[in-house]
Amino acid sequence: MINSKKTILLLYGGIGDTIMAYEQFKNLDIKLILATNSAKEVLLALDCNKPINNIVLSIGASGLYKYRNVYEMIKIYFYLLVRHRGDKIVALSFMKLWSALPFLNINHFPNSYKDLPRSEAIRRVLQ
Amino acid sequence: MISICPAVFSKGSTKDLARRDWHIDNWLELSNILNKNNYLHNFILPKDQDDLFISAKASKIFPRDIKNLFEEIKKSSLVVTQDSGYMHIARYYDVKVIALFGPTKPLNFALGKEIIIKGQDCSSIPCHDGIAFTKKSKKCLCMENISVDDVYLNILNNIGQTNV
Repeated sequence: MINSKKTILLLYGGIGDTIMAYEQFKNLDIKLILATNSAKEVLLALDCNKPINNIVLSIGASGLYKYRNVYEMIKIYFYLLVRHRGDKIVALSFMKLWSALPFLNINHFPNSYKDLPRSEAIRRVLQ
Repeated sequence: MISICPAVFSKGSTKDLARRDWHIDNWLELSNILNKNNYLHNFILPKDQDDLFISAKASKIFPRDIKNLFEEIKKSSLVVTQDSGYMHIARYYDVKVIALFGPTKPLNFALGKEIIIKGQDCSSIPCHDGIAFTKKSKKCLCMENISVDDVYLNILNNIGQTNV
C-alpha cells in the first residue's frame, strides 16, 4: 500500500513511562521513535528493535529550561513537518503545546485521560 | 535477595518528584530492622546517593547504566521502592514489588501486579491530579503517613517467615 500512514512516536518520559509505552507499542508497526537519551537507554535495555533518533526535551522543565523546551519542540516540529508529514505522530504526553502547532496533527493525551491508568491512556492514543 | 530501591530525588530530576519520596531515615530504619531480624538485603541506588545512605549496614549496588540497573532488579526476589521507575522495572520482569504511594494515585501508575502501600491522604489533596503535582502539594505529607512497621510487615507477608 502506497502512502499508508506510519506511526512516529515521541518519547521523553522517565523509566516508568517508557516501559509502559514499550509494552503497548512493541507489537505495533512503528516507523520511528524520537526519544530523549534516557528514554532511548531504557528502550535499548528492553531490547527494543525499532529505529530510534535522539531528541532533547524534558518533562516538567522550569525556569529557563522551559524556553529551551519550547525551542526544542519547535525544532522537532519542523523536522516532523519536513520529513514525516502524512505520518501519524504520537507524543505520549499531556503537553498542550503540541496541539497548538498548525499543519501537523500531533496526537497526545487529552486532559480527560488524566484519570485513566497511564498504560490505558497510551493504548488509546496509539490506536 | 530483598532489594531496597529508595528512588529518592536525584540531581537532574524534576524537583516536584521529591514529593513521592519516603524519608531517607525511614529507609535506613527499615534496613536496620531487616538486619536485626537477619533478612539479607541490599540497596540499589545511584552512586551519587551513596553519601545519603552512608550509615546503612547493607551492601549497596550502584548500577553502571540503565541496562545494568535492569539486570540487578531482575536478580532480586523482592523489590521495595516508592512510585518510581524501579517499580516498573520490577513489574516488567515479574519481580515481586512493594511500592509506596503518597501523592500519586496507584490507579494512574500501577498496573495491578504491584503490592501497594498507600499513605493516608494529607490535608493538601489532591496533591497530584493525574498529570502533574498540584500547587497545594508543596505541603504534601502523604508519604509521612507510611510507617516503617507497615512496610516491614508487608515484607514479611511477602517473603514468608523464613530468612532469605
